[in-house]
Amino acid sequence: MSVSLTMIPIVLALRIVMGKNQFEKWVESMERAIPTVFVNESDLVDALIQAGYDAEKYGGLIKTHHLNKKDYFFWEFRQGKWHAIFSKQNSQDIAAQFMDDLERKLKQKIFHRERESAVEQIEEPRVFPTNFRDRSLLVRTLQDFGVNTVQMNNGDIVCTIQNAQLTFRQEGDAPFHVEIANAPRLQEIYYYLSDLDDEYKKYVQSQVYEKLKKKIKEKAFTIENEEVLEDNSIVITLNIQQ
Amino acid sequence: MSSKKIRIQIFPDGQIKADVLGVKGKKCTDYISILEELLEAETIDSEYTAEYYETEQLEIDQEIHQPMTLYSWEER
Repeated sequence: MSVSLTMIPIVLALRIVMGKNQFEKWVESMERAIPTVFVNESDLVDALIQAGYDAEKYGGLIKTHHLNKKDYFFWEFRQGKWHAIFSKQNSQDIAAQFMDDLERKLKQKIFHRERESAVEQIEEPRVFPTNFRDRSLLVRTLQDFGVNTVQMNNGDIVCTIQNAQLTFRQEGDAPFHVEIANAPRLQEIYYYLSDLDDEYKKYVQSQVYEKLKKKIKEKAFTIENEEVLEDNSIVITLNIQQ
Repeated sequence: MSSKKIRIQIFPDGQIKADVLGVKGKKCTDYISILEELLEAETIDSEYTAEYYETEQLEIDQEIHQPMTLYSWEER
């Protein structure tokens, strides 16, 4: 073997681990999106590097580690401005320290923290990250679950699940995040979203397989072997002897 | 000559593992972009194996020995 790669399809993000036992972690992943003054990606990246932080492209987002190198958070472009997306599991202290540090090092006000305070007081809607990146695949999955979806002019996908209103929103090619309003029982919504996540990933597997087979033909590679393993993964071995 | 193959495993959770087999040295990295295009995917981790580094060592040795050979020839 020469090189071994781990890859994720561009229609999928690995932002959040769903599953029946992950409810508490999911609640902690609730987003705190804090708008900044940055409009351009290059300005944001330059500022971070100048201040001694990293800025790694990560599935349509930018990932930055805190100075302790262990904790991290994401940057996402929303409504014309870059936002720092902290999760509830990032302690308030570490997020505040980061914002103070960046503003001190760059000698300018960068974050609009007053908006976060206003959002926290209202507490609705609650916003969570998702692993969905492909609009048509998400709509297809929702519809297969018997959910009526409405696509708004601004691109939002709105639907009602368990009497709660869910709005799936995407900026550029970043993963969708979901806003949940009027949820009587958040845990039930979580289970629903967890099943949706599973189904979406099965569609991704199937889509990757079908597209691969098509492209193999176009590239004139030959398939030496093809099998489905016990864990339901699909293995294709290509002969690339040239 | 060992056979050159690519083994692609697509998991039910959408993740993909791709192994380039039997391609020596830096040439195997050419397949990273080919695979990204074939699979419409992004590489999040890569691991080079012993075979890759053995071949790299050979290439380095050749680079070191080449000028010495030329020098010896010029002296004659």
